[in-house]
Amino acid sequence: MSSMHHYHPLQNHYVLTQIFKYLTEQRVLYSCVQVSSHWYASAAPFLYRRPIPKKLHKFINTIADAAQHRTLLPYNLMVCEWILADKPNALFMSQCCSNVRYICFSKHVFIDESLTEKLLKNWRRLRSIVLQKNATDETLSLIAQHSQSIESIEIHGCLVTDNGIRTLLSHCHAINSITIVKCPSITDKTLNALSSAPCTSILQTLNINECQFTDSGFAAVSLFPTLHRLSLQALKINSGLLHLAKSVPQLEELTFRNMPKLTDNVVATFGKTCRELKRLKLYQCKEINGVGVKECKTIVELSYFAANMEFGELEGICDGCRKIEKLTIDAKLHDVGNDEDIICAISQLKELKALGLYSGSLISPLDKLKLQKECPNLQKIN
Amino acid sequence: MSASEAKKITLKSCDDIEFKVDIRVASRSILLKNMIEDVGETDQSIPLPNVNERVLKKVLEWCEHHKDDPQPAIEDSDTRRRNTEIDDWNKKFLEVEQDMLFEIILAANYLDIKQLLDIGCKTVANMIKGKTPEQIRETFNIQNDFTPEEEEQIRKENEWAEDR
Repeated sequence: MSSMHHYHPLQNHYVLTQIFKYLTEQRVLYSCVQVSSHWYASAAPFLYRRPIPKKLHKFINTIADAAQHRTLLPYNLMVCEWILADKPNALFMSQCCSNVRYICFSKHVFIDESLTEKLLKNWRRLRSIVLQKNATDETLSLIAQHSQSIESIEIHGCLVTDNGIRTLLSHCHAINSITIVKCPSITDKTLNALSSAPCTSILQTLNINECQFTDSGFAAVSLFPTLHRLSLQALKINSGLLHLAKSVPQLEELTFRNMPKLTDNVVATFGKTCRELKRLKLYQCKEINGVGVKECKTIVELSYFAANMEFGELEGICDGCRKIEKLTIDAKLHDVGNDEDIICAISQLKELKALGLYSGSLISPLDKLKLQKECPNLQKIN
Repeated sequence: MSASEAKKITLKSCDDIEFKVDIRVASRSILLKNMIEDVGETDQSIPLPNVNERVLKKVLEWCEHHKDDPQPAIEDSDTRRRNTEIDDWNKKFLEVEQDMLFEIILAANYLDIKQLLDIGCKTVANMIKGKTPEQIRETFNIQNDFTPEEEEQIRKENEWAEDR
């Protein structure tokens, strides 16, 4: 074929970077850097973006050489993310790799406050910090002092208290994403701090998992005007969420997982009050039978995982939520007359593009054809 | 000019073949969309000096099929979740010779059709996976332009990423 172009398209830096962004495996990127000079220049930043070295000492040697301009490219400046899984080299990395934006304190490594302070002082461009297990209020206070530009914080299994969170929130005004998981000393005072902090007005993502928050804590929160994603997991609450539903007008994605007291009334209230809600994910909330979902008329995606589901509820959802494009139901369906009823119910979803049905009954090839006839955009059926 | 005619524009490939297309179809290309908005309705054909008939026909087939899709959202900065899955229609659409695949990628880049560029690049990414540097060169007919010294230095500097 005669080509319109005089150069090989795989020498075009932009095209190459568009391709490499889909390659996340280190060994594949390692092959790419060795192909040609064009590939080397385009793939190296991807190889170094979030390195997880198989051979740590060799990686450290390369970074040391790069910091002294003894490598072909400045690899040290390409590192954007670093997991602090190795204490002896932590300080060295913070001295050499000034462009790191994301750090994760590993739960397997204890980094004391004095080292933490040095790291935070060196990494001036941090945007995201993940704390696991060993962080204390002192850690949060150091972040508040040295990393005020962070946009995202995750705290997993740490003995931090409400005071620590309050200090953090009062200094880091750019935070738009907060994740708090299994922090036993945190109470409703943190919810209060959250809903009155400067970052409340820009907060987009809130994930809370297994904390001591109560209904009255949630009932007292004020408005989260920009919250888009809310995920609540393993919290023994219900009624407080009726208030929360009215405080998140821009909510687009809602996930409830393993919430033992959660009722359909709460789900319905979110559906009625959050008119921007697009994605709803309900996983193993045992008090729920699905009747609340049909009030979430704006959703385009529903994932529903439960032990059981009445067929009538599925019918109600398919009737009420006509905008659904992606539907995943993993629950044993009860009271179904025959498989045709299921197909008939689902075929009301004219926008459907992907369907995953794990309900105990199989969709026959004939039923698949019928469904695809009714739902013209349906491409994927599992 | 009748209303239905008003909604069409003419594109001219580099080998001088004209295509009359719906504005809605052509507007999948941000380059053309901006051009149409700037120029307004015109009888003159828009020349596309970087795209030949064969490729333009293929690209317009894609635009026609996707004319009702929503425009892609602003780039998600979280590249960690990128997947390389391609749906069946697009997979079949890109079952073409390698030269054609590259022409489509370059045309999508030139015409600024992000979703087409994405699936083209995903297809190439999937072809790269699991191959050694030499196999990649063979697959895409790329010349190894490193000196033996450079090759050795690059291998050594990046050895930390080796699986073995």
